[in-house]
Amino acid sequence: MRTSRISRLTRALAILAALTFIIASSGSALATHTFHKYSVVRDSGQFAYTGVYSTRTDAVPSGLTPGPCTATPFQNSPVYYTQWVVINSQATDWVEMGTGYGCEGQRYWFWGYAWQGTWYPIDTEWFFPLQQNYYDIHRVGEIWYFNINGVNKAIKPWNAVGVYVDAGLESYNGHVNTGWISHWELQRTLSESSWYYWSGTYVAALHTPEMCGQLVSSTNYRTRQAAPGTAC
Amino acid sequence: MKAILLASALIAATACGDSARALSGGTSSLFDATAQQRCEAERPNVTGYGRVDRLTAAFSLTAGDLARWMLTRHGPLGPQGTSRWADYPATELLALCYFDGVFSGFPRPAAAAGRPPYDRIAIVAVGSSGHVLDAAGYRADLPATRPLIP
Repeated sequence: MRTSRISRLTRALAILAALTFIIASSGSALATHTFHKYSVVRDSGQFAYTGVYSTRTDAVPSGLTPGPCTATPFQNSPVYYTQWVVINSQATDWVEMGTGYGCEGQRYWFWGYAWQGTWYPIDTEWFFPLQQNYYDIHRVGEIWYFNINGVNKAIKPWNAVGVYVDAGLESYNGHVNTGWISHWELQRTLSESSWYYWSGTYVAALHTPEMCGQLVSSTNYRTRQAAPGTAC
Repeated sequence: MKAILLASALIAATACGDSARALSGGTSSLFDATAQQRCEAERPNVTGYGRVDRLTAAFSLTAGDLARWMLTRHGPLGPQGTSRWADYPATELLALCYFDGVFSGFPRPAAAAGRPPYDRIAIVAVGSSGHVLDAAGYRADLPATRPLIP
C-alpha cells in the first residue's frame, strides 16, 4: 500500500517536473517563418564594389496577410524588393536598401547595414509612392550614401568595399503573388569611380517553383513570386 | 524518495531560472528597474519578429547617451558615425531592451539565406508605447551588455 502511494507520488512529481520544463522552455507560441525564398541577380568578378543602383516601379503584392496589423517594419511575413552591396564572401557584412511589404496596407522604404553577422536597420519611411523610383547606395570618401530618387536618406561612414552587388526579390510569405517587377538600369561603381552598367550579370538565386526570374538583359531583371500552385 | 524530490526541484529550478531572473531583476547589472518595466510592456509588440523566449537585459539611457554609444560601438574598423537618436532631445529617457528567442523575417542577402534565424534582437522602447528595432543578430555577436558611453 505504502509502496503504491510512493510510486504514484513519484510519477506525479516526474510529470510535474517535465511539464514545468516544457512550459518554461517553450516561450511564446509564435512560429518563425518556414518560407524564405529569393529571386536575385548579381554582378561580380570586379574589384572593390562601392555602389549599386536600380530603377524600379513597385506594385503591391496580392495575398498579403489581411490587416489591420502592427505598423512595425520587418514583421508580418514580409516581402522585400531590395538591393545589396555585399562586403565579404561570407555575407556577414553588407549595406542594403529596399522596399518592404508586411500585411495589407503596409509598405515602407528601408535602409541599413550588417556588420559581423548582426543586422542594423538605419531607418524606414512609410507609404512611399507607387511610381518609378531610383535607388542607389554608393560610397564616396569612405562614406556610404543611401539615396532614393536622388534624395539622401542616410549616410554611414565605413571603410569597406563590396565583393559583389545583388538586386532582386526576397520573400518570407509563401502566399503572395507579386506580379512581374523589373529591376532595371542596373549599375554599379568600383573604387568610388563613375557609375557603369552591370555587365557580368547572372542569376545568383532563383528558388523555384514560387520564385520566378527573367534576365531580360544584363541591366534588366524581371522578378516575380507566383501564387502557390501556379506557374511563373 | 528524497533523491527524486531533489531531482524534480532541480529540473524545475533550472527550467525556470532565466525567466525568474528576468522577472525579478536578479541579475541587477542587466536590468534597470524602469527599463525592465518598459521592455516587458513592449514584449507583445516584438512577437511579430518571431518567438520571444525572454527579456535578457534592459537598460535606461538618455537619447544623448544612446546616440554617443551608437556612434562608436563598432570600434574603429566598423561602420561609424550616425544615430537617429542624435535628433532626439538629449535628456529624453529611453529603454534599450535585449530579447532572446528565434527571430526571422529580416532582409539579408541570398548568400546568407542558409543561416539559422537570429536568436537575439535589440530594440529601443520610446515613450510609453512603441519601439524602434536597433539590431537583429546572434548572441555570440550581439552581446546584451550595458552600453559603455564614451
